[in-house]
Amino acid sequence: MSRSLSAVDEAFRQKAVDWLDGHVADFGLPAREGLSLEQDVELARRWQKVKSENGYAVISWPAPWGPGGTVTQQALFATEESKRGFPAGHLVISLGMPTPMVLRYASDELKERFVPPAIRGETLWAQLFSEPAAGSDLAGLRMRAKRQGDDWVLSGQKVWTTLAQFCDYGVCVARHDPSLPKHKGLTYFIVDLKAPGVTVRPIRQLTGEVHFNEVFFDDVVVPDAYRLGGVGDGFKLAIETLMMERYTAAADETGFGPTLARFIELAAETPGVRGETALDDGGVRAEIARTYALQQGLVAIHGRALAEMSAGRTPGPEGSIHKLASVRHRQHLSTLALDLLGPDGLRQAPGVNPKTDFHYSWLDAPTLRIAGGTDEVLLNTIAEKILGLPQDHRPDKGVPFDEIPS
Amino acid sequence: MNFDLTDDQAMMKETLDRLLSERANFETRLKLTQSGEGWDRKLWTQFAELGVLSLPFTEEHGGLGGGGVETMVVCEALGRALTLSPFTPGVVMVAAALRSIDALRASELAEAIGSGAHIIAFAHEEAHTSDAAFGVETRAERTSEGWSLTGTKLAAPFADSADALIVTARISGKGAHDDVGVFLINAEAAGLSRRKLMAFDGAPGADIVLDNVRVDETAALHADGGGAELLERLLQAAIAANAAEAVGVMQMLIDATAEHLHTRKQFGVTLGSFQALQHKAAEMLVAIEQARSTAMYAAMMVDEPDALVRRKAFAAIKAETGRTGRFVGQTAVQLHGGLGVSEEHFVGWGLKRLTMLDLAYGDAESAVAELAALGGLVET
Ligand SMILES: Cc1cc2nc3c(=O)[nH]c(=O)nc-3n(C[C@H](O)[C@H](O)[C@H](O)COP(=O)(O)OP(=O)(O)OC[C@H]3O[C@@H](n4cnc5c(N)ncnc54)[C@H](O)[C@@H]3O)c2cc1C
Repeated sequence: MSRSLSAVDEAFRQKAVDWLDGHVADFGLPAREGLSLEQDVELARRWQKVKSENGYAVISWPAPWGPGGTVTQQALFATEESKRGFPAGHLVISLGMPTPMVLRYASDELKERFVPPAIRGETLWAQLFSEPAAGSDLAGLRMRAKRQGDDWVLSGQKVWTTLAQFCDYGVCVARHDPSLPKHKGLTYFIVDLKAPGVTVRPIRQLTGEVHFNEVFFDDVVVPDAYRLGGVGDGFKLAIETLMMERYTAAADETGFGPTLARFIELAAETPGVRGETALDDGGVRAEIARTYALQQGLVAIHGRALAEMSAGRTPGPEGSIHKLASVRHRQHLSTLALDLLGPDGLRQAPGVNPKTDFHYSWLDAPTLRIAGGTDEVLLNTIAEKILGLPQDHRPDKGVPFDEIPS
Repeated sequence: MNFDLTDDQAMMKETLDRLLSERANFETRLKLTQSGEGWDRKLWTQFAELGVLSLPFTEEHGGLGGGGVETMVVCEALGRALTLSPFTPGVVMVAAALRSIDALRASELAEAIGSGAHIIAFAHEEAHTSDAAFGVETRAERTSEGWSLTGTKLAAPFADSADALIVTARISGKGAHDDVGVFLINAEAAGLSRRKLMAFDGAPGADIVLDNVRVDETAALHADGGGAELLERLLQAAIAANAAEAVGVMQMLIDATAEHLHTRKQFGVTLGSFQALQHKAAEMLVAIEQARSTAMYAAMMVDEPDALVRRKAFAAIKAETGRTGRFVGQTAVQLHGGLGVSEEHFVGWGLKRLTMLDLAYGDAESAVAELAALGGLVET
């Protein structure tokens, strides 16, 4: 694998960098300082609009939706964007999973209606899969979808729905037939989160931020045209969505935490126990070297996945491996940073950024070991799918859902 | 070493556990972090009535003469209930500070604290230091009547509610790195300002600016030249108390995790039937038993007369408590899934509390470095 870019990609990157640098003051890290989550999401929407007007939104999507660039270019842009602290993260779900699923499965009319405003950041989309009783075991979900003439009526509860309080629409899996085995009785829908009967209750996270929500559906009417895939295809489509998620989550070798450069800066500013600054400390230096080695490996694995995608193939386990390694390491590095920072910084403060603030990064790291497939579930998948080891005993397999003891 | 609690100690533990389970549940804690002072003064009064606030003071000072083990019992109970209270700075550390002052004044202070009426906080931590004990830049200058203190103290727990503060300051004109004094200052003193804050774990506190705060001779709690020793004693008392509190938090987390593994079902079985998770829970148990032994060791070592032996012991205690606390806290959160990272569930608060305890008065990594530097571990 070569890490040097083709002339075309390098020219693209250079142009993008110049363009991004021109917008940092208005939309990058400096513009975000001290913003509440709500204000930051608003900034992200406006930023998305600016990108869409300049050919930098959904770079790899084909015309008429995107400018038809390559996956590599999209990744290059995202990397430079993330380095400068633009608020693109708030749209990672909206444009990363739900909208592509709409593009793959909705009618032309619905695509025309839903996709362009999402690309411009005018609408935000959520992913409504998890429920109180169905997290890792997604197929155990209980939300009901009952057929009623040309419509479906949805009732039940979703949980941990990222940013739902700001979202207009979502993709959602519900059980249309409880008499079928659990994986078979599920169907996938577009839902309008502003529709009557939908209630969104924000849940505060460990970090103090309100990033996720409970979403209650009380006889919410959904037209059959909003069904994506066939009746009963819900589980298959959900897995397809999650595979996209696992890959998106993998694109940052820092595990979406602060960069190694940032850690080095911190160590250089911190008085040392064994030397003048922490940077003189052999233990700290070894840790920096270890992190460097690990991150080089992650960059390489990301490159491998990009190459697979550029060649039109679906990446294998690279995404899972990247997520496991990068997020665990981010937690480890943030813990070390806490040692350097001491207790003073451990105070409640609004508007901190996980890319720059190690305290926040440390508090937020456990969420990434759970969201988008827990560490344990990813390890199970690797053990079963790649090593071919047997699956754990699953007594509910093949049993009609309504006969499984709860 | 005898690790069994005496009848009196066991009774204290039972009474406290009962009181805390009735009065200091998680919902109460959440409410407290969202409003008012951030801790429960009524509960504090009940502690006073039970004698908890007189426990570590000597009988000579009108206290109950409890030792390290009694303190451990109380702090562990507080940890298990995740109760926020100024017990460590306001009782345990004060008791350690009264050793070297005039008996009459010590008795008065012990009585005021024991009644629950008088709150004392410890203002020590400063910006950017690698030396948790002596990295003090606040200065104490001699004046004709006593001392004048100037400097900034950061994030002193419960300092916003305190009537008085124990403040550490570098004695001006002296050169050694440990020429630090320990002063008891009225929180309303002229030149002292406080800015209220809340730590990540919900504990209230304050940043403190001392601008030429003038105090008389009696404010100095240390005997002339004995500041360093007194400060070390104070910090060691706090580390022992924090080690016990951490054990309480860890015990609560492992109980909650075991319960969760027994009851939560995914894939048609309880989570506990997955061996990968059984092993994680078992590792938690291994860690907490190590932490518990460490806390007991700490309870014994607070009274160790040899300063070097004590210093080594507390570096080891700090390192071990930090290591085990991180592991237990992170694993508990991980095994709770989404619930673990939600503010509405207590598990995440346990992780946050453990982290605060870990980082208070030095961190685990620095403790390891100190232990190595103190020497005597390998024959050369
Ligand atoms: C920050 C955040 C954002 C999220 N955003 C969304 C969102 O936008 N939309 C959405 O639908 N969901 C979202 N989720 C939910 C997420 O997908 C679930 O939390 C996750 O799948 C785990 O489910 P759970 O929380 O129910 O935990 P559980 O599945 O109950 O897991 C509890 C523990 O058991 C372990 N475990 C479970 N099964 C096994 C097994 N077979 N073998 C070994 N160990 C096992 C898990 O690894 C975990 O440690 C989000 C979660 C977080 C934390």
